[in-house]
Amino acid sequence: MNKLFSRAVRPGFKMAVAALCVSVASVGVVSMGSAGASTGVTNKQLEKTVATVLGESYPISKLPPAVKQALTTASIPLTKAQAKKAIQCWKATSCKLGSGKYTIAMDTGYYVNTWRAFAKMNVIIQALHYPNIGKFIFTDAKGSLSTFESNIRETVAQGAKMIVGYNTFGPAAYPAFKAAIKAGAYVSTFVDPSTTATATELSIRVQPTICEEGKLMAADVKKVIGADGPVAYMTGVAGNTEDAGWQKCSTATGIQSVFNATTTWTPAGGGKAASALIASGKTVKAIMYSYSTPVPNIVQAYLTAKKQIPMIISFTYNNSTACLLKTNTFPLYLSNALNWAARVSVTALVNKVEKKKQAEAVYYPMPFFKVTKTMCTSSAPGGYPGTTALVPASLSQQMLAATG
Amino acid sequence: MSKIHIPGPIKAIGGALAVLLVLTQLVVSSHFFDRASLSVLTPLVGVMIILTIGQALVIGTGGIDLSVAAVVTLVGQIVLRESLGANGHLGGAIINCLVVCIAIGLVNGILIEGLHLNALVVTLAVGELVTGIATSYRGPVAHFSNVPANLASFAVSNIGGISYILIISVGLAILGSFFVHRVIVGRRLILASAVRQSAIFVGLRANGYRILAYVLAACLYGVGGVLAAGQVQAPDLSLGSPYLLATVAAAVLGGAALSGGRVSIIATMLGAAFLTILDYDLQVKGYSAGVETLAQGVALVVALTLAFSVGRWSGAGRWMRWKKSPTTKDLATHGVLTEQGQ
Repeated sequence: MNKLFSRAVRPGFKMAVAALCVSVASVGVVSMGSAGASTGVTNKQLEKTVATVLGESYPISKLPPAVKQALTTASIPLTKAQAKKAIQCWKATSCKLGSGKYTIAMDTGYYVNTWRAFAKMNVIIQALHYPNIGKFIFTDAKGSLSTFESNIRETVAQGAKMIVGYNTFGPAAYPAFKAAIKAGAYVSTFVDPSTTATATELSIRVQPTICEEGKLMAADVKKVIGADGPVAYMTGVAGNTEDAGWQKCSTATGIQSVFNATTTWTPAGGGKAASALIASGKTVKAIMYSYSTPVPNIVQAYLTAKKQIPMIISFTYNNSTACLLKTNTFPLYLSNALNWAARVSVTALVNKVEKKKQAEAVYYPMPFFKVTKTMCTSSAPGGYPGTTALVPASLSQQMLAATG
Repeated sequence: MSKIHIPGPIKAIGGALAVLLVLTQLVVSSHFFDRASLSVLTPLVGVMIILTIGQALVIGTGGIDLSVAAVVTLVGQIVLRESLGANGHLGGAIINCLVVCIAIGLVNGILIEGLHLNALVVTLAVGELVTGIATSYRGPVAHFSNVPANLASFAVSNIGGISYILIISVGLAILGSFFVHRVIVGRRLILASAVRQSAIFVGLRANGYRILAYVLAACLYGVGGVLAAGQVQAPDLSLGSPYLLATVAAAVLGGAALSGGRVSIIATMLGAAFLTILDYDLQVKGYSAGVETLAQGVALVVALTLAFSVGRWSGAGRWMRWKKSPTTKDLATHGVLTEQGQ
């Protein structure tokens, strides 16, 4: 096409086209030049989407290309037909999205909570924007690594060219990813930091800069408590790289942690860890954690013990955690829900299959914001990840009303 | 004045628990007996005791129940969904839980005792089935995430730091102990598994009693599950996970014989308290979940080794005495002579 222009079109016409492009850009239309993304999303719309997912405004120019591209695509409203299809697919384990030649699979380690249900919806609605994706497959390994491995093999056998998933199993899942890549598929994980994976083991990682998050949390803690500590770290499962990463960088800024307990990232585990903290007799000014769902149980332990609730800062967003502020007063800082990162995986995978330039590691920003009681959605269940999950309100309502 | 007889398992685990409590106060945390600490620890102990008593009843039949975690999880979901988070529906939700638990206990019991299938395999399979039901029943998203306020409030209430849940569990343990030692049905329940063939020969409906043990156990898991849900307030699909092997370990620590026929409910209660406090100590000291699991495993191995060794030593002693001069009592004990000396 460029050659055609250079040979057949007069220079004056080329200048006119260039002028038109400049004028379009000046009114703020974001043109990503990708399937589904070149439909006239304005900068204002994109800024609004960015502010929604991150919980606060953030300069678009600082976003990594894949994140900007994904959020631009996400800014395009769904048609009624697409919304209907999205709900149908979300309830199914396999569905036809359109007539595109590619199949996208979401292989999840454990489809256990509302957070993952919203992540699944994000994959579907992002895929609906790409006409070259024709089919969606979903599998759940129910916490079993061997099942996860066989699920990946099966989805590749069914023609999945793109595989997206939250990696529950860490490096243990790499051999399965490697086999899928060897079979011609592209694999992308989101949220979890699969930093040790090589290009042959994982095509694209979409994650926050874990160390940076540790520093951001530390800065907020210092600002609120006016000191370096004492604080307590809460860890998910022992030895996970995510917690080790942010805790190390937080400590490097001078934060003084006097307690660290594992929670298994479950409500019961969170309550138990907080109980142990109280029983240790150590009074902390802040609790730093990587998952918001068990936070109500941490708070409950403090209420039961009739102790003052310290500041709590955590990754992810959860309605029941935000609603704690309706009856309690304590400084609460959370990040966005992070489910939307699944959309970035989809966009990055499309770039890969279309042989476009795509970085192997996509780092998205994850600022923490102060939660207020007005953020609580009383009509929604506790697991609702809020508007930062980037699922349209009408779809969220249908999801929350859905039965098993 | 008659001397009070304290059974061996109670002495052993009671002594171990006393030592652990002293070590906890001296080494782990000097705040252990503070009201604040007790108020958050005692509900955990209480739930563990109730679930372990259920497991001990099954182990008393020579079986094992690996469906405990799944039953607790399902009960948590029933409480959430049937109550709709409202106090008015709590009673109905609890009745539903009871019916479901009886059904699960019956399925376990009939498959194991009626069809003579392996207890480990059956309860594992039933556990998987129940987990699947719980997941489907909950749906892709939880519609109600909090249990009714009355249940939550009850579960966190305490008297001087001692949780109502612990008080209930101790009450259940005392009732349970009375049942298996003083009530005919309870005594038969345990004796039906001491020597299975003999039980059948003397006319006991042994299989029926053993099925009853599975049903009672499932009902206790139900009670524990409801209280655990109240304590967690927002039970999810991981509610029962911590109790799968911990209840087996605690029952064995309480002196329950894996071959069946010997259960002390009071010792079981102490075993459950021991394991929960040990777990708690390790967490207060900042050890990882891996170390906690390791400690549970070590406690179980030590308990089993001690139980086996003590049994062997006492058996060896009796055998040596018998070699010297078997008395009429020895022969009667070993079934050579009947009580009439025939």
